[in-house]
Amino acid sequence: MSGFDWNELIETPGAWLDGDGSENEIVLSSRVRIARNLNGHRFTHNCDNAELGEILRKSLDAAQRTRAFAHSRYVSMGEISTLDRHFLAERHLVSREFLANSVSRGLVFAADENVSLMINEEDHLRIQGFASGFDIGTAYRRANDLDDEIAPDLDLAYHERLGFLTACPTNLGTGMRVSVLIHLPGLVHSKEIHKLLESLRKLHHSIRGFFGEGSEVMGNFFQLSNSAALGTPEDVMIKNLREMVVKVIAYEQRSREMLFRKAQRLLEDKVWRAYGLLRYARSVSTKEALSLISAVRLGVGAGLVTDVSIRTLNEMLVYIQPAHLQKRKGTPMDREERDVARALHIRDVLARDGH
Amino acid sequence: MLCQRCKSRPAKVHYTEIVNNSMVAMNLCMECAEEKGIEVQKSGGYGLGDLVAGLIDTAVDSEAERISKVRCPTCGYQYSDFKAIGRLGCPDCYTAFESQLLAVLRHVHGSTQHAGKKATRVSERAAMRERVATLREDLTRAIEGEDYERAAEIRDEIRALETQVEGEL
Repeated sequence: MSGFDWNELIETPGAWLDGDGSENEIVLSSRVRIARNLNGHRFTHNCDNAELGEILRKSLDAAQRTRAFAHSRYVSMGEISTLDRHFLAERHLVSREFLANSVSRGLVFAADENVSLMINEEDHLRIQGFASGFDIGTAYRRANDLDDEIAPDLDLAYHERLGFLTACPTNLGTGMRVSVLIHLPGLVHSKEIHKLLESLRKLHHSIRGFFGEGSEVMGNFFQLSNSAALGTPEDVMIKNLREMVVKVIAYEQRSREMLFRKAQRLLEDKVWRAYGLLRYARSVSTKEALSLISAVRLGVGAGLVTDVSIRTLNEMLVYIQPAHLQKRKGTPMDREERDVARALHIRDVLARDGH
Repeated sequence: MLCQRCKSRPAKVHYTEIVNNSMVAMNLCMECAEEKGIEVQKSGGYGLGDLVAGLIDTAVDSEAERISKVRCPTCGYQYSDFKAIGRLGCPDCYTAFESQLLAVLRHVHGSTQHAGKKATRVSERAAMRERVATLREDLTRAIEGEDYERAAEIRDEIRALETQVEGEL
């Protein structure tokens, strides 16, 4: 485990968004999060700094010995700038919640960014495994391997009946949340999304915005996940979510076909206008960019746009975000400057890929 | 809790009386208990009142009152703290507030029984704490069933375990 060169990190968008994997046009990436806590300690929010320090030390000791983190990096969240913290959140390496408090908070992540460990988040340990595309199994294997490796070195809070104990009872049991980052423009435009939300809720699943809990829905990107963690074994949870996602993909494809059948000219116009704006605009906000990228992505899926790859669009999702723009530029920028830098970045990428 | 008889002093003596063929929980202050001729042993010993009062108020308190008073023995959290912030204070809170939390879990997860991966190393201390929780339930049942001999045995077992747990801290 070592410190790292931020510049090196900036030049890669994170392997889990590389555009590989099945159903990659609709499902961008898969993620499995596992929550664990140490026995004999209060939950993070209830700890003083001394206790947080002790939890951090114990957890790092265990993490250091793992093969999963043989090539890894460590970030002491309290010792980096606010901008750097946002940079890590934009890559989904840390949660937004992790940004608010940083004292005695630590992040370890594998050099390939496929597995990470947040220490002293809502729970003492939050393991995340990532995979590109619709590949929950791989994401689970990555997270679970790390859990298997650290567990014997830690005295984990566990109850025979209730399973792994977590600060919030919603995560109790397996401590696991399985999610996919999914692009659903068809369901949004056909207004079917609300029906989907309602059925998902009934089936103990939930849908959130791009950045999870409480985040705004932008560009028709959603996180679809299980909301129940107790009473169902991990393999069944994975199977359930997988089946759910397969159905959602089918609904999405059906909505897209219907939209193109009913309003082909309108939709084609929307796609190409978005493409035109991305290619030539001189200033664009994050929200507008996400919505334009969504439309172009829809065009790629329909075979209309052929000179932009899904990988390029995925990378764009990461690089157009405020902290990434500023880290790349090397200086802080205000909103107006960022909008200009964002438009410039998008133009450069499309000029490189397009013709 | 106030004494049921004088309704002014705190209840210190808890026992069960049979009135008209049914069991009635009695909670009296020392003075009223003595007036009623209940033998109160003031220190040590195995007086009936002592046995019942020492370990479990739950057998006689009303459920609602008990719930509002329960504090997690490890971190001092009350159930109201959880309701206010949506998070528990420490892992032991789950044992302290288990009965209230079960309704929450049923609502959130549709289940109250873990299935799946188990901890590879359940600490002995945690196992002991769970054993104590089970014994407390047994004790309540023994007292309700007026099996005081068994209750005394269970009480001794709980004390022994608790001494062990504290010794390890």
